[in-house]
Amino acid sequence: MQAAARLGASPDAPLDAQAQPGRRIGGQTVVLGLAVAVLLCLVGYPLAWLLFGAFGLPQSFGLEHLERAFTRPQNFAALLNTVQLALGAGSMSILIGVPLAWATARTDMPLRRLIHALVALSYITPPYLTALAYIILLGPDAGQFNRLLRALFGFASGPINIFSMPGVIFVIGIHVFAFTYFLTHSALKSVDAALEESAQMLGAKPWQTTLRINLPLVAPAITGGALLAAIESMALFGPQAIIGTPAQIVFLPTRIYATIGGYPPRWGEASALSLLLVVLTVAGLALQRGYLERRSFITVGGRGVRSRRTALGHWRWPLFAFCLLLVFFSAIAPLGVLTLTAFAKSWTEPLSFANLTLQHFFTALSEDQVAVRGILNSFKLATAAATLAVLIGAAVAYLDVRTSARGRRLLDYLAILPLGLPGTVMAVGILLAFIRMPLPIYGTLSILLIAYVARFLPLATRSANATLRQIDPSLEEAGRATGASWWGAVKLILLPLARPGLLVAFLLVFIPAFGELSATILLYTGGTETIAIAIYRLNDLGQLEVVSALAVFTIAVVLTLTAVVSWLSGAGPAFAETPTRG
Amino acid sequence: MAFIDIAGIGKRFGKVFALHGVDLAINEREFITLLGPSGCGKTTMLRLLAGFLIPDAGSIKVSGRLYSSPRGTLPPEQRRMGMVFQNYAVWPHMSVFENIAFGLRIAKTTRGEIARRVARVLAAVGLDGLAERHAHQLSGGQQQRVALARSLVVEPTILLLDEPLSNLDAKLRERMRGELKILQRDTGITFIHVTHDQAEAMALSDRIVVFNKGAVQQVGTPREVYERPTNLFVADFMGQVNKLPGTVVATSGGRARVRVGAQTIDVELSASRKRSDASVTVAIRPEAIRLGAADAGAAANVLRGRLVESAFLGNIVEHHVDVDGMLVRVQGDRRQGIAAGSPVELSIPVGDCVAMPSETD
Amino acid sequence: MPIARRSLIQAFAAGTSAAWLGRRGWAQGAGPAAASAIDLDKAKADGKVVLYTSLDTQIVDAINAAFKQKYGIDVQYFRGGSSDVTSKVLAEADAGRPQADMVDASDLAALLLMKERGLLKPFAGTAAAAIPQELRDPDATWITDRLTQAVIQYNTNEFGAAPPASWADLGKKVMQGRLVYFSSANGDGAPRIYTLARHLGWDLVKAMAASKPLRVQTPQVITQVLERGERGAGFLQNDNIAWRSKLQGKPTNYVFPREGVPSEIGACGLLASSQRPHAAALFYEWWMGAEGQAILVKGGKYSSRLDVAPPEGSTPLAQLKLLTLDYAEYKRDKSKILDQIASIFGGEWGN
Repeated sequence: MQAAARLGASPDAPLDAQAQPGRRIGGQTVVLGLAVAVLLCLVGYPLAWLLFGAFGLPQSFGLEHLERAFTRPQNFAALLNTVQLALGAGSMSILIGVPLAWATARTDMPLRRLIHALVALSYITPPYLTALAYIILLGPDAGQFNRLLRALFGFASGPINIFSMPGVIFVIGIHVFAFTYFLTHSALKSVDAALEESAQMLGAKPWQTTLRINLPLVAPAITGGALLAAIESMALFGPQAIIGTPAQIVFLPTRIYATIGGYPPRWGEASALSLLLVVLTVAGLALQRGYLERRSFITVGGRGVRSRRTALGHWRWPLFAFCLLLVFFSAIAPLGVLTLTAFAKSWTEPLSFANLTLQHFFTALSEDQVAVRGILNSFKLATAAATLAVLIGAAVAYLDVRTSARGRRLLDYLAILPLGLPGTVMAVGILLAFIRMPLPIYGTLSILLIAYVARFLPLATRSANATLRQIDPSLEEAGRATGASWWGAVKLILLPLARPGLLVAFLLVFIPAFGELSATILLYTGGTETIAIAIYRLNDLGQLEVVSALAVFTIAVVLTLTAVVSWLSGAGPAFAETPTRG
Repeated sequence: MAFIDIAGIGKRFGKVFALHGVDLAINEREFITLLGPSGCGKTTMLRLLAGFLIPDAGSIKVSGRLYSSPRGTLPPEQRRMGMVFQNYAVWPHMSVFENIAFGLRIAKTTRGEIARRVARVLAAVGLDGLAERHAHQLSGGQQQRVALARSLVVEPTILLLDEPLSNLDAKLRERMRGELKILQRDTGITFIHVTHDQAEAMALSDRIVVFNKGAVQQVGTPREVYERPTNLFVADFMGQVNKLPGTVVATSGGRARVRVGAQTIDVELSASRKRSDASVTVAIRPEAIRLGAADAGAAANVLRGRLVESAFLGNIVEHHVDVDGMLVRVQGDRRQGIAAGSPVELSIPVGDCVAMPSETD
Repeated sequence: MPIARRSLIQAFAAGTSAAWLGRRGWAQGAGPAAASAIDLDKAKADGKVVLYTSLDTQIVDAINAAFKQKYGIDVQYFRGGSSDVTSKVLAEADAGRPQADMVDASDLAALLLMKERGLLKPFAGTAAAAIPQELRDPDATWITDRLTQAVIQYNTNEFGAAPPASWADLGKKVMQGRLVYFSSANGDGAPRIYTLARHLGWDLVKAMAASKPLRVQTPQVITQVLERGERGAGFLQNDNIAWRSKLQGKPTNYVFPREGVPSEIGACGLLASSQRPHAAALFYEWWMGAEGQAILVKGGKYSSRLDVAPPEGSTPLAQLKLLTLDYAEYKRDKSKILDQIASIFGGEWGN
């Protein structure tokens, strides 16, 4: 009793009341507080401005922007087209994704891993590059496939015109179907074989088992994937602009681009349209979350799940041929034609050894001002964005996993929020927010940096969160017990253990930031072009060969880094709700 | 001709033989258990019977009809057998009623008939009133009954059970054991049951087939397998057993005199012992040994040793006795108390000492 | 380690205001007001010139290269359609972050707007003497550097025998699905369409739209499309690009339609906010001078200078019936005009 009184604590006081007084305003609070501030600045502030802008602020409050967003024919057409695109891409993702997933997950089709990897490849390739490739392949008169078809079947013209709504749906579809594929693939693998075998023992033939057992069990994953694919397709500015604009088809992102690109920029209208896009996106995400959670019967990766494969007999190779055909169109053809065009003297000539050259790479990588600038800027921005994102993400993850600070859930949601927002929308918000600040960041790389960090922060946060969760807190506690300060424990114990995971987080941000288009197109200016902008602009000028060389370069970088991520994390790309470049 | 005729079955996975040279004849209305440690091949045997695997050698015939052979296998959906899985495999997206009705629907039974039969089997397994529930609303025991009911409603002649009780807690397991036995007797279905729990096997089965390393070790009634194990593995697997290494001194008919340590005892020779084997292992069950003098008139061996320690286990006391450096486990009455370190006499009936070939692994 | 919050905030505030004030300093920068006041040393010290232009990159590259060779000063340029150029300049001015030293756009309305906003700097260049009065600003803030005529370009393989010679020809049924034209999504192609409509009537334009022409983003792509044979004829193509294609021996040719040829004035000016006034002025003089304009002409453009010959093998302007645009009227009615064009042609016009 006496001793306790001397220590200044009553015997009944809880133990932590005796904690060191220095902890109140310690290094921990500063670091975390800074992270919170940056997060609010990067994400919350632009979004708030978006909301204000849609209502006409700061000029004057009014609903006319929202009204125009709905009633003007161009805007209404954009809305309809965007919804049509979403529905089309979502359906297409089911048509392609489900058979492929079934083939790789539940049959003994040969070379399944190859097909799986090629599906991943079609997702990793920036979608605007796929769009470019298909212009080369399916341009109505000079497209290579069209030429082939005309030669084989004697059509007078065409026959396929990529510059059409089906064309846009097709090009976007072969990119976003990966969502449905991967979710369905996981779900199929998680179906316990016993569930199928018990049906078999009761007399069900294989097709009956598939229909009555497998399909209902994976249906939530299929629809969930299709919803994600649909949502994603709405945000892909690249293909919409590259294929849709020449086809005179407007979508919400291209419309937003047009309202800001002209002079004077119509902020109110752009904000209203952005808000519209956000509403569509959020509605889709809520539907997907609610639907999936309510109806899912399978836990992915459940314990003790044995899965088995259907023996196909002599159907093995035909099925493989079919799958190969699908991934041919989604991955092999686009990459192949871009590579060939990059190395060909003229892409309209037929291929031959005499037609090969390295000139375009030379132009792209050292001669063309815009291209060279673009490459340098992309590397600079991606590195800086990834570093910042990992720092902030790690801090937010730390708050969530290691502390019981109030409001950390909210912070986590805020950090994840940009995941669901189209790049176009983030860019409009950032423009509105930062164009007024006295800080001179408009027209510099800084504004692009802000956009990239804001957009891809969720990737870093989620990855850091997963990494920190795997590290036992008792390791740091042991460090503190032997006298290390909070920062010391973090630096000497936590960070070394977390390093591989944080490196993965770094790359997960670097890769999409490197090829980002939809936000960059609204925020760049002369001097701050990125590689995606160089590609986009050079395409406008019709310089497809140099564009292809740049494209091949971009894909090479992205592929290499993805392989590194794969190797580091020992698994394939993580898929639930990943955003994309575009 | 037996009901189920398993002849020379062999199954290979890659380079490993999961089963080889399995011969077994299963009778109608029999409750037979495939017993063994994990990896012994019992589950493989069951899945071969179900039709999920194709044998690399041998054949399986049911009622004279060829079901499985290396050249061709009748697919599971045409075998008309039932199967209960270890984790029950109740379909989560269907209600209990729909789960049970599944097989009947496949067989295109009429709606009225389905309703009648499902109701009947629900009552039989004690799940009345739960027809509209879904899997996540059922306990483990209830799910197991659903799995049973689902298989039984289509009235198969053979029911395969893959460790059906291993996921239940102890009390429930015991209860289900009893119910399974009654169910089998009432329906007359041939139950082919797989388990690694020898107590369960003995409680339930008419006959037990002991597997080890892909080969059948012994087939027999529970009593036969327990009291007359053919080799050390079976002896050890079926219950506690003391294994005393020894050397054969003299033989006479089915018996022999064996020196264990510094003492000699009379033993019965196991059929599997080869005539030329001089070194054997004598298997003696702990409960067969009595601490103290034998009953007068009974043919009994006597071993002298020193009590090392005793453990009170509730219903019995287990004594550890040092006999010439060998540790012998003895089960004794719980009221019998002996000081540790004191010299003791162990008396064992000759019939309970079986000399077997020493295991050479 | 406790950190004094106050001192942190103070430091932050001091830093930002310093940066902000430093930025503000640019507005008072001086620069030469006339060609005679250009200081070559100061120009070289400026180090580079930033140019925003809508001119064809091949020509720009040639001019820049020659300039660099003569003076050793780099030219960094941003090339976009004239609306892109305009909106970048104006948006940057809005944000207080101007980048460019000199702006050149093929849309005079754009420069008029910039002048209105006070973004252009009056500069008495030597070229003014050689350029007609109506083609330069009385206040010397902008000056026409080139005249672009909108022609009909066609593929000779397809139309060698009977090429379309008038705008009306393009509205005929036989042209269905064989035409191509350009406009960026920001409506760059709109002025010349409007010129045509203004002088020759909207029905003519509607007839051309009815043939379902392929729309591409830039004039350069029209030539590509025609060279490949993907379409037979392109309307409202830049004359210099058609000229270059023919000169290179590609299977294309072009005509100045007899009803009249829309003529666009491309103009340039120096930006008042330029931080490299001497280098900029030097470049301006080069651009507008005999040497720069000669390069322009070699690229197929018609120079605004009276003392420069037209491109080799092409018709002198005096012999053509030029249709011009009232830029003030266009600027005033731009929104309505774009709406009308959008309703006729469909697609995105930035309206």
